[in-house]
Amino acid sequence: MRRLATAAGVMALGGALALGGPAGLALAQSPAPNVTALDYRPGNLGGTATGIVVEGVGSGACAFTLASVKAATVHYIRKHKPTWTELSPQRGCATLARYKQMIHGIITYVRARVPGLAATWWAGFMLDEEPNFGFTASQVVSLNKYAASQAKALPGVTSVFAEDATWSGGWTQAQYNRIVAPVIAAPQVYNSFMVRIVNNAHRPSNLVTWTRTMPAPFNTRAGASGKIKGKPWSNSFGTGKTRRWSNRWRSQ
Amino acid sequence: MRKTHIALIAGVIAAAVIALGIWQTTYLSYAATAAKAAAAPSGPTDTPCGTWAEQGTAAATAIVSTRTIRNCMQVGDDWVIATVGGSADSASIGVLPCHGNATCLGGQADPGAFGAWQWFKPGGFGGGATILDASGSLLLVDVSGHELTFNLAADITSGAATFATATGG
Repeated sequence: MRRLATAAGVMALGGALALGGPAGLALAQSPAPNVTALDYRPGNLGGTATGIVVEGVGSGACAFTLASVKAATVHYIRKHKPTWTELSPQRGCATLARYKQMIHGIITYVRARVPGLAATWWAGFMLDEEPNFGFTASQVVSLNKYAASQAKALPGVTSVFAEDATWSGGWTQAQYNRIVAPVIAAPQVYNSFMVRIVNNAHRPSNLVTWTRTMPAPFNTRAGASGKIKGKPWSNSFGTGKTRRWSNRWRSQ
Repeated sequence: MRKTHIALIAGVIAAAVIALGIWQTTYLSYAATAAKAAAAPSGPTDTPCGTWAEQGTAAATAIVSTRTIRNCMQVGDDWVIATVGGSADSASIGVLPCHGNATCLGGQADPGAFGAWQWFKPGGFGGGATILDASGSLLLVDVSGHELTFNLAADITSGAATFATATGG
């Protein structure tokens, strides 16, 4: 009887591997995320979502102004909202050195205005990094290391998240792994390619980014996080509530 | 005196005709603009793209070949796809107008059954594209490191030779 059970288990394992490879064994993020952060333009100060992502996009020479990104970040921190400050570093908008200056400048601005509240409510930076944005993988690693070192010196919850995407012909698995190593991964889980990349990166947790407009199952929190193994990124932001996060991209 | 009266009447008539002409031109121009605005996309929606946009399906491959669908979304009357992973000269923004067809706009049926995809290079830049934001008919996109605007109401009306104006990069 025991041999029979063992044989059945081996067959089930073999079946799972045959169907989906090692990633096929991944069931879903466990426990499942229960809250979602949502994008708002810096000019939109009426955000009501549980978590706020101030979408600064390229900034620098592009939309939106750094001043508006800073101001919106402080606005939502003062509202006691878990707040991320997002930038999408693109070569056409600013140099790598300039993006590092911008990150430093945002930290200086926030710390000068809401030092106490920031420790509780400023989740930190959300950096949308992609192979097509004009910076090499090594440059992006350099940016993430810099941002992480800056955030590490801050008290409280503030950290750095990489809302990254790659694709066939883009960054390789090894490059993706190096890019997210210094930060918290917030991968854009929009297709099965990214599912493989994220699951093979073996990060301790992922803040899954999803969007309603992509085909199912990637158009819901449960569907996208259901494809990713391991734990969701969790933080209560001092509320005492259990908050396991996902991140929803949207056009605003 | 009579000649003066005739000249005055002729002048009034001429002025009236000119004024009417100006009014007509203005009105028709306004009407044309209003009609165009009524038909133009009204903005992005949360309607999900169907399996036709799922990477690796036969339908998606028929649309983008070996490229990857980076974003897919409905913006007003149009389905919009941004692609990555093509050649450096790829036209990376695909647009398919539904012309008000409810089934096409529903998202589950392959919109290719209702029209043809048109492909664009915003700002004249080739290579992969990512949609960063959308507002009304205006897309904010990255194309090969350049952050650009692309207006679905204006930039696709003249065909693939007309491109958006760069706002950055």
